[in-house]
Amino acid sequence: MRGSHKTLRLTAGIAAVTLFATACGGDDGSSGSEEQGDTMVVQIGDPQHLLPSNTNESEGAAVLQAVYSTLITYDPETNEPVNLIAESIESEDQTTWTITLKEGWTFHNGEPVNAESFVRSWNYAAYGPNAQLNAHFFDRIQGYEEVAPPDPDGEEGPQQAPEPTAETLSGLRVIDELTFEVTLSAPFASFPIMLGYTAFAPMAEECLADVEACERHPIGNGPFMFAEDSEWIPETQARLELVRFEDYGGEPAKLDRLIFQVYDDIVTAYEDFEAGLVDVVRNVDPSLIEQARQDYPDTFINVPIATMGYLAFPTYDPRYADPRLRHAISMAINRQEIIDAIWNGTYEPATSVASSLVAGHREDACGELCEYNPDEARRLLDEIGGFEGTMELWYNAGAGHDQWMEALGNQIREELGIEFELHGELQFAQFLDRREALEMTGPFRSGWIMDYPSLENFLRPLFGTGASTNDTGYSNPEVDALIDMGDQAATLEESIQYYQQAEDIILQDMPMIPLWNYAEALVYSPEFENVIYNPVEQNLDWAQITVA
Amino acid sequence: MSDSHNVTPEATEVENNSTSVEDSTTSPSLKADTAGQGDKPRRNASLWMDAFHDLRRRPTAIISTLYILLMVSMAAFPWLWTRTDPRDCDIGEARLHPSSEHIFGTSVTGCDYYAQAIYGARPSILVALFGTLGVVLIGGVFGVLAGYFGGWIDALLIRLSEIVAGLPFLLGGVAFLTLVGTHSVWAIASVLAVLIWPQVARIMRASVISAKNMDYVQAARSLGASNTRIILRHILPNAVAPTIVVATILLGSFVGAEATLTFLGVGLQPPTVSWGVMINQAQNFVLTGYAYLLIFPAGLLVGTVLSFILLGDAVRDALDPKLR
Amino acid sequence: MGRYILKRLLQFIPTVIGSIFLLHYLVVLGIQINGNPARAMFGERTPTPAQLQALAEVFNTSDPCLEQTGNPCLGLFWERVSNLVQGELGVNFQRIPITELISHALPVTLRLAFLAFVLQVVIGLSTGVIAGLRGEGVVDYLVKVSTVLFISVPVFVLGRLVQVYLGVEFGGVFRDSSWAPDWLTALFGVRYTPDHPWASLILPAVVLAALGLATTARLTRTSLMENLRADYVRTAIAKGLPRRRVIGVHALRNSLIPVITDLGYQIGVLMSGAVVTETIFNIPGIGGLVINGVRQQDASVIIPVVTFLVLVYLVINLLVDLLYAVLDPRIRYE
Repeated sequence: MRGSHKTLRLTAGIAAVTLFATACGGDDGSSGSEEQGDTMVVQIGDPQHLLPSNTNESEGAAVLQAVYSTLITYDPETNEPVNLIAESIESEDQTTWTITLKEGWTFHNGEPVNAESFVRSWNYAAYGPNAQLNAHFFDRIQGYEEVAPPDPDGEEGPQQAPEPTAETLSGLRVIDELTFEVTLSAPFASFPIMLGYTAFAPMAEECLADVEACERHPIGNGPFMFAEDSEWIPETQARLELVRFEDYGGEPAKLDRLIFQVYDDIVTAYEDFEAGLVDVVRNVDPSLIEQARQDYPDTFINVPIATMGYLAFPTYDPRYADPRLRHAISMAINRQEIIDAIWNGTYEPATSVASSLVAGHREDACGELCEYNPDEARRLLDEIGGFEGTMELWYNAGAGHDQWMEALGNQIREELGIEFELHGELQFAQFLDRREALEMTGPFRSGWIMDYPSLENFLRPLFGTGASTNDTGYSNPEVDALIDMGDQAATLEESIQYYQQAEDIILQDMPMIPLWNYAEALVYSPEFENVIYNPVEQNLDWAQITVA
Repeated sequence: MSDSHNVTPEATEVENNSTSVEDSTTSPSLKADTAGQGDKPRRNASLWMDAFHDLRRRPTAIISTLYILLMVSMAAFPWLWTRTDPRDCDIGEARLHPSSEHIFGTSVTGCDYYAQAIYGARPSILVALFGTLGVVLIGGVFGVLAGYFGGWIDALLIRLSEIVAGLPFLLGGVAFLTLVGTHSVWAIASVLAVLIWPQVARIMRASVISAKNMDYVQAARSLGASNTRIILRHILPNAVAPTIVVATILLGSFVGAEATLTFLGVGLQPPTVSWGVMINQAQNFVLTGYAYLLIFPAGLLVGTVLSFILLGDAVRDALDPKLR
Repeated sequence: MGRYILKRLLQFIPTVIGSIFLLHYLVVLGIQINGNPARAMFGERTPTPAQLQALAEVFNTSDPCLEQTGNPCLGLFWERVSNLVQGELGVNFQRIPITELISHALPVTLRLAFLAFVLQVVIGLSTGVIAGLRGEGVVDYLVKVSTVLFISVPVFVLGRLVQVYLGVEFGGVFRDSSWAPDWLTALFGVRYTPDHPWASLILPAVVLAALGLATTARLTRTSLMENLRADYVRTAIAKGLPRRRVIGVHALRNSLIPVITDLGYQIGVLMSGAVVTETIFNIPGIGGLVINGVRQQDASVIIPVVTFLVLVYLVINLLVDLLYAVLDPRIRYE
């Protein structure tokens, strides 16, 4: 018994020592975070990655847009591309593009931003074994199949994908310090428009040498750079301190410091905003929108963004094969009512398959087919002899889709008398697997975040025969042909005409019902001015912001 | 100490009757004070009569029981309470404040909130009921087997219960429910049962160990009674009292656990309406002037949890002659 | 005594291996049923099989057994156990070393658990003693109902209420004032901030302690009441010892035995049970680490961290059993 007394006291002593020692460590880490100059604190969720080629979600993108600059940017008013690092982007045949850079751009570590830095970055992104999430952006460039060979017999087949036969894209060629040439495998008129996406940002040599270090402490070429001792470590609710990059190639930032604070819970972030501890809440929770709009009428930003919500149909299922049924359901849905109740009216009812931000979007593309018209909906349903059985509505679990899906089902039941069942039990990966395998047994939610502001981006990936995200089994050779013609057209205007014709056919066939155009609900502190939201980049223009 | 092969505090309770140690669970929300049970065997019928008379004199017991009966009637016969269909919603009338037409107002999706609160009782109470039944069943069987047969069965079951008890409750719940996919009443109740059974198993095991060395059990054995008969007739009745107390408290905790699992995204899901689902949809509105969305379901839920725990307490006090 | 401890320590081995297997099988089944976590990373855009394969290799989820539902993937299990035994914890999906993640999360969790524990002991014991000394009456009822009320409110509701009313509303008074020191502002803040690693954890600790506090108070009360009725107390008072001394020294000491053992178990609960509190108060602790691991099905996070928590649970159990014997001389472990 005596022995155990001693041991106990000893262990207790050690525990106490470690406890206090670690506590001191915590203190040290954050000293020196006193206010230094004009500072803005911005809420973000924990990023998945902080590397342009690997960041495909909004939180990482928010940081990257402050840290990296790309060849072009988009005018926040017109959404048109504007050259930034690029001096010019030219092509005779829409296949071979010559990109010339402006002089005087450097990375945060002093390396020059030259042709080589872009080629380096794009090659890294496209190379299959690097497993970069944005690799697909480069699949139009010649030689993509050599660096990321496709599996010869599909995923299910016994053969593995062959090893890449090349490490670099044959379509990328450095001409001189500030010029490089990009050869595509097929003509694509919208290519320059893609280049403002962060995936196309350049990469410093130091970054390529140690990619992991470069994620923790990015080396970019943007208006803000990571402060000396600032480091991103996932899962630590990190506070990322960025300072103005004095040698920035473009118009330098006005703020001295930009701080991204990671929050786990969006409501907590809003409460912190109310308490004055954070200056920008980027995604105000729908439950708080009404209040935010009331309390901050002048600094609440609500603009449509380039993300669309759809209700997709398994057109391969005979019960959903008739377009008239899909039209009936589309007309039974009162989009505005759902938007008002769930998102406080921030979203916009869809009138097209594409977001209102892209050139070639038409307010009346969908017309009556996307308008609430219960009488016509019932008439159509009668015409095809009604709907047998219960309609299963599918969505992925845990992502906040249950309320609007339920409201949607209620409306379908109310207007068309079709009983529905909600199926929200699948995790995202499983939900996507089932969609891709064309095994859905009822209408399912779908969404599309635009990659680059072109009408084409809403057509081919979603509706092209066998296209990457065509999960409805839809196939119409006429549509495919029109999209091809659009890609090869000599001018953007001409290509848009073809795309619009394709869209018209798609809406008549309606494999997916366009539901709504998502919108940003952002609130910032009235202490700041020149807070401009860029809808294409889906971010504030960090460099412009000033203190009032 | 006759049970020397595995000496744990439970096994010492026989000679240690002025203080008794209770096990703890791994779940903070399921913590419940169950001190004072598992003491001496007491199985005379008059004890139950005494306890009943004692309970009738305790106001908390009466109020708790009445409240629980009300909630159970909501769960069993919701049509007694409302004629409105909780699924009959008009999204155009979302988030109306309480009025004479909708006495609890309307929900975020425009459903009558009173009807939802009434119909929400059933899933909440069913989860708790089936969860508790599962815990008592699994824990009871394992506890009796371990305590009665001892040896390797005991060792094996103790290890098993340690593995489960060592797994943090909420983390285990999220892991299991993510796996199961369907978040039905059955799935949640099963997961609660699978994660919490060690609590009852320990109590059961301790009661069995203390009872099996009693003279009357030894006597029954020497008279040639079968194991089954000894367990059913002589040993189980000893363990009933502490188990009832724990079960009552668990019922309450499970009503709350359903809400917490829903908060973590693995609880019941719409269109199922439960108090947990309602509270979760409402919790963000605390700040915004729609406090009623939170107050009604949370009030009903807290009342239910409180009633079960207070009743469990009262039952324990009533069964414990020392505290009279 | 030594042999007893050794025996208990040896019993840890099957328990820990069993836990690891359970965790491993949960993750494996999760991937088999719910789909490969690598797929979810690509979102709506369908990756090519080669892209998927490359990412699955990074995630260590490319083993073909992960596509056969029900297959326990023993090869993978063995690999994981031997890595753990060698102390190689590996990296998570984002290629961050697990040891680094733990080294960030553990100190925060320890501080939070420590504060909650102190609150629980101080408030729980004192209210319990007051209720127990007064016997059944108004005070006793008040203590009982108010503590039970704490357990009845789901922790996320309690957390949110504390955050809104004490953090946003009441805390605003200090933030707007010129006199309030930094630590006071941090104390009534909305979330955890590393600038004030202790003060900003106090409100979360209150929420976390609320659950166990009720248990402690009620256990103290019951135990004290039992002891006050015990023969030895009556004897001592009959012998003419001052009542204050009898209660203060003898009764209280004996009634603390079950309370202290229960508090022992609570430490483990406090360390692992803070998932909800951590989420609400933006605390980067162990609970959040594991729950994100579970959601992403990242075995490389779940298995080492939860195994660690299981070990903590086992060690505390052992210590509590030993402590119990220390406090109660009637118990001996041979």
